[in-house]
Amino acid sequence: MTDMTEETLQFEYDGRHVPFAKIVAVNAIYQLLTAMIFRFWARTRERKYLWSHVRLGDDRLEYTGTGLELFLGFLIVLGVILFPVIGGFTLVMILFGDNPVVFGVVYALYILVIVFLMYVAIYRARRYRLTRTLWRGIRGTLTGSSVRYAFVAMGYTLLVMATLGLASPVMRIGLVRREIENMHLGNRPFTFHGKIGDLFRLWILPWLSLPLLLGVLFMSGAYDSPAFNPAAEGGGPPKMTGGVAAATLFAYLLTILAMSWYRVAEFRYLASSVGFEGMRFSSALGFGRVFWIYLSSYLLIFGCFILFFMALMGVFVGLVGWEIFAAAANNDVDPETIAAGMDQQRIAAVFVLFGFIFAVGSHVLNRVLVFHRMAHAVVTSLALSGTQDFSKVAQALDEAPKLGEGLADAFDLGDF
Amino acid sequence: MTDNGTINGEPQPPPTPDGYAGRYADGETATVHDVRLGLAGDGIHIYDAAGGPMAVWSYDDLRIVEKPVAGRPVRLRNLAQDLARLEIADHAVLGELHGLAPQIHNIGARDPVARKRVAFWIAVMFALFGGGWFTLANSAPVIAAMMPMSMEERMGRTAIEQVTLIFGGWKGSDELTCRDEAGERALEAMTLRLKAVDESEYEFKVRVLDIPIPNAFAAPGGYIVIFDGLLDLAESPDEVAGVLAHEMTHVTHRHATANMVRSIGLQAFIIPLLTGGTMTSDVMTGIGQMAVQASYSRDAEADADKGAVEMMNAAGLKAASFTELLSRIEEKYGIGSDEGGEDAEGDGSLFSIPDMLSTHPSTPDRARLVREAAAPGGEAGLTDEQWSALKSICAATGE
Repeated sequence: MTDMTEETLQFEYDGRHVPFAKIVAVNAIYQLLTAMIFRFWARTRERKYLWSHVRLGDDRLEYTGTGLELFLGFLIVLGVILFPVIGGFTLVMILFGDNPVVFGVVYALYILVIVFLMYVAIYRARRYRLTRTLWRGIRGTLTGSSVRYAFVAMGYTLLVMATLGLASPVMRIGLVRREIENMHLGNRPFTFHGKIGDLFRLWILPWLSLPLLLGVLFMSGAYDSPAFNPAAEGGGPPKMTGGVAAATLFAYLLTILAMSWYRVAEFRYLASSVGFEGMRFSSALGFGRVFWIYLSSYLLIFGCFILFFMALMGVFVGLVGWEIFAAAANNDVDPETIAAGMDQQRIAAVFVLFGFIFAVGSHVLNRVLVFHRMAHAVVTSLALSGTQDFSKVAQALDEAPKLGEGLADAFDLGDF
Repeated sequence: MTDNGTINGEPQPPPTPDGYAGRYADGETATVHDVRLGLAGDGIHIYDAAGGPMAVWSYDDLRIVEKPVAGRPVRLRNLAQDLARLEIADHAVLGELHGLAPQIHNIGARDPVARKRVAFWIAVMFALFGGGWFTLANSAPVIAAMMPMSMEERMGRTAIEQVTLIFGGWKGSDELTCRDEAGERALEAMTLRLKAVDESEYEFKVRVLDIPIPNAFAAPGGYIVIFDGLLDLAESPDEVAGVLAHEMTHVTHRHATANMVRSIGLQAFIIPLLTGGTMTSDVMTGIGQMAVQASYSRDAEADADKGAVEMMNAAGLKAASFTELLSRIEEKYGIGSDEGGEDAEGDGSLFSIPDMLSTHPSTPDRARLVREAAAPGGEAGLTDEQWSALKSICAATGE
């Protein structure tokens, strides 16, 4: 294969739901059995599957991380950060928790520290994952300081809060630029060409749904208070109340739709703003597709839940007998009758078993129906276009972090 | 594709009789080369398209990257050069490699070196955490004894707030304290009578909260809280006094304090380990909850019973009656195991209430021991007037 061709390289994903579901299910079961200690290996197994089914051109990605790296990363963070922070704050809380002023101040400080550490965790976790990603034998890397990133991110967060979210594009472009320009494949950096103005143009309309929602909420809340509406004492005329409820529901739905649409549009824009070695990425991800994935997934999950619940009830009735079940359903609850009719240990066993099935099942369904489908959609929407010239790309000489993601695990940050 | 390869009419002698084709990334540049391979005695020889030698991968360092998938090339790596990769489309190469390099499948869970390392660190983790928790749990009483009173009192106040919030529907203790004057005076009279026979330096701060659950809590530093529900079920003042004496003993023997220390250990060591240390605000608000709801051990309870009886005897009060109050509560709320006897650390029905009753299975032993230790006779402790004042201490509070 020659190295200099003008073309569009399409990202492909050929992972399938069934094999992936098997991995997720086994992961879930093992995690439950090992009190979650297995989670490091679970994450590694999932990532290995996902990465190895992503192809760009003729070459697949490979995830070279190990569960042990994640596990050790976690232990270190536990000892170096978590214990001192939790221990310190616990002590302060116990000693001064009776004083509401101190309580408030300490709590606020605690939140600040947590948010700060979260941003550090995100950056470090990205670095770990990039350095464990291999393509054509070259691994990725993320340079730059995670601490500086966290400070910048906190600053942006305050700005966004102060502008009621209007300044979000500023934060987004600022942070994404920082990440992308520090991101490398081997020794060659990615480039970022996004502009705040472009993103803002996408953001302004969806953002308007927020003040609209706030306004509706305020109105509906105010509507119910006697100070605002003398008729509210008795609940107000029914059709007006219905109208207010409808308006509130509408405002919520509008906000959700607007925000979802924006996230997809933002993703497309950001993808098209990233370049590498003169080529440019692009994404063809459509909102309709994303919407359908979520809608159909939740409908399916809801259906499964109904079936599950019916099965549970069936078993319960089988164990307890119809009369007691009917009485309990009618809230005709006499504790002694119920207690007498129940074989407590059997009931407990049934609940434990169903609880287990529910935990594993809902996790698998969610991961496969929502996450996996989205991953497939996102990956296959991506392409890299331009004059392909990877001749300058060589292995980076700097050391990759040996251990990974302890902080991110501590904050349960999941995928990002 | 094991063809004998002619390219452009020029005969290309295969490096060795088995000429597999592959794709080779050398881990130094992003170029992927089309290569031909020869399986020699020492390893895989990699040749470029023109037949020039590129690299040799020794069998010892050879590993597969992942389990081979049908329809996809086999991917191999080289331990000596970690990021280089070799892809071979023809799975038949594996058959040959099995004989030459059987260890290529020792990846992941099959890798003995990795297995040992994982086992080692997991053992370290258990040792550290188990050790830390064990040490803290056993040194909790010592730590509690060394704590200055001011610290204990602060802990106690926090605990009381948390308990009130949990049971009182998120109202604070200020809102829920019953402040009827006559009732408060009666309560004080009872408290003073017991304090008079107590040799510790604790100042007992007792209050009644307007909560309909029959329960009582002792918090570090001398804070004791009695719920109105308990007063409702009590039939005579000595029953309440007995409960009060029981809680006072928990205070003076620092059971509550030791419990809080222990549960800090639990929070700090075990929970982060298991849940991945999710540092949510639950950690913070859960502190008081955990601390106070941690049930006392059977020894602590027996100790408190003994102390209660001694106090009641010394104060000249009827010592054994509070066990009857407990039985009444248990009957009403169905706690304790049906089998009675030895077991049940608070297991039982779904209606268990912590502290007072969670590790108080109604063993006949316990009541018997109390009755045996009780001095005969003894007063009720309050006049009829005081008693009815106390019973109605919460009448004016709340809705």
